Amino acid sequence: MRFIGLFSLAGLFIPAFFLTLWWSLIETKLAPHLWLALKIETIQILFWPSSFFLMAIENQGTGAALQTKIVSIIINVLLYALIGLLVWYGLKKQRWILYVTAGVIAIGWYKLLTL
Amino acid sequence: MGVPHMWLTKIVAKAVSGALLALLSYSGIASAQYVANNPLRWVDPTGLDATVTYYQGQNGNIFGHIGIGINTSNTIGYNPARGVNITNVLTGQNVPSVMSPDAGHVPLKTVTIHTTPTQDQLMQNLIDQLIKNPGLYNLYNNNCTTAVQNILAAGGISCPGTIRPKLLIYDLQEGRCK
Repeated sequence: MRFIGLFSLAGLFIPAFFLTLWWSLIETKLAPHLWLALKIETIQILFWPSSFFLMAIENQGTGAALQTKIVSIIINVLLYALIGLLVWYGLKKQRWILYVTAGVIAIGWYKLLTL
Repeated sequence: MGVPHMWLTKIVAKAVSGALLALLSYSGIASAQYVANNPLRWVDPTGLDATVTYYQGQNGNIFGHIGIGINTSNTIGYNPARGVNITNVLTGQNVPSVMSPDAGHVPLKTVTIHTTPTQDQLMQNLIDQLIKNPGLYNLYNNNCTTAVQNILAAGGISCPGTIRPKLLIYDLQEGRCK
């Protein structure tokens, strides 16, 4: 359970990191260096896949924006918890589950980065 | 006596053009940004242009927003209509949309593509059509980025497919749209 808890915490803190640091501090300062901003955005997509939801906020009110952020973070926490469970199970019981999980994550990353 | 004068003229001309190029380079105008870094394909016989601007997103949209203007720097962007069911948007369902001016957004990067009057007309026709009938917004395949791509495509300018505003403006800046 501790293993899954740690993964879940990572799923919570990664969006919090990108939301606070990226949005409030980096975004405008990185504008002249688009390539760097893109690299950071790529890392953000890899570690916070549901961040794509935030594109839906455009032209919406603050209520919808808050709802979207909460949903995006909750889905990320659940995703990390699931990965944590699979990794734990793979390490402790069935090693093949670990490889399948890694394969699914790799395919997911590929799909996300080609969006 | 004429030869030294000719040399002097050449030296002065070289110094002036070098300084001018350095100044333009420093200001970001040098190279061929005015034709999307592709001067062999794009020409600017008329001074008309398409302006694509990447904006800071609203309310925590960390992906940003992108809009386009034809012969104007006042861009227009494609958005989900205000007040749509946000759950429907997130789950990838088609929702009502709107083409609205990007006034009030914070511009972060602008790329200008010099175009011909025909290209301008074709792109403006699609913008007018989208204003009248914006169709349905889909977060994953019909958003602000794809709308700009479609408008550019109407003018014969093809960009690599993406739904990420930042990636599209980068492709435009790097001359990847042909």
